[in-house]
Amino acid sequence: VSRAVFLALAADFAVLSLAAFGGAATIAPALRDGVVLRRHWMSDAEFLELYAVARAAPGPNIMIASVMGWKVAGLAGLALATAVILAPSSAICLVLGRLTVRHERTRFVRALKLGLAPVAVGLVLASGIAIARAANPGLLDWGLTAAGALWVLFARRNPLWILVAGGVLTAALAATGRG
Amino acid sequence: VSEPAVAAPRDALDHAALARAFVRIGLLGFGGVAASARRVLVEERAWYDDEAYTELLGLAQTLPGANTVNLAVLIGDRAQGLSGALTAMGALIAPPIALLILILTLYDHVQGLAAVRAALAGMASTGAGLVFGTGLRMAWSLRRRAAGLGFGLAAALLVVVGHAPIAWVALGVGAASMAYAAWALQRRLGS
Repeated sequence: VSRAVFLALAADFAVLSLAAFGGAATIAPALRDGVVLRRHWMSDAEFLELYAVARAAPGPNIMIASVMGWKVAGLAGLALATAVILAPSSAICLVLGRLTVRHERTRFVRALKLGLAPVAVGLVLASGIAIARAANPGLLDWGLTAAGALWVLFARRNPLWILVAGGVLTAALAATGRG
Repeated sequence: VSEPAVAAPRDALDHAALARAFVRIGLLGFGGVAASARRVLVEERAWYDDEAYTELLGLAQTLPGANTVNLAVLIGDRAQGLSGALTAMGALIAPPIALLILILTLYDHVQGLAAVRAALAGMASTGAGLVFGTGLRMAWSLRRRAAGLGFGLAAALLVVVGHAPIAWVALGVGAASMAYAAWALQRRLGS
């Protein structure tokens, strides 16, 4: 892997870091434009496969960028992509977070926190729907989504149980459907 | 793997406690980390109550970058400064990245992983429900704030129905909601 590839990776992902409001879903189209159409680092099919697996696996969706780096340039690419996608946005967050702590008694910061909280709730609801739309091809999958929502509202137990149940059910159905 | 819900003073959180909490958030975060973050930080650890958590998430969502990574930065920094921020961030992302690379390596080298793929898809569908249910619980905590619920609903509808970009919704509705909050604070102080 040439040095130019690393430089291009760093330049592309640093810009995406600052554009990634709300996480990876926001930058997915730009990420695809970059790695598939402009840089030709992978085919469209490869990109979609990586994206689908990354979205299904646990963890912050922004790690899709790390996996792109790994695909392009191995472990060094993974480390570089991860650092570059995280550093610019996290530095801004660190500085602004400290400012809100230092000035927490001012009316501006109090209004900031009070005002942004409802937007956070709305965006969590929206992201649940967006993930479900992308992840659910059929009625059964929507049933699993409904079961997950009901679990959070009423069961108050470890979510791992319902996640494993959903995974086992889907795997079993896929196996029997095939055989 | 569940741990008792001990209410620790969050300013005294050490690096190990931060790392344990954020490893758990990352690895439980199927279909998005919003559900597991609230579960671990509010319900299990009780480091934040619903109100404080939602305020912090509001800040994390309005800034560029992944929400939960920003949340890790804010919480880690408040507890232990820069090293705490790096600890929380690393703990959040490193295990899921390692797991993902493992899965992708197996994809390349082992045939017949259809079952794993199907299981992951089922877990993502279920995880979407966990995120949506978490949003409903957070909305419940806003029940005494009619205007807040209105702004939250507006943000959700603009994204889901209007397909508006999240950045614009976060900044636009966020600014309107902030202006309203500032006006309400002013009125309360004035009376």
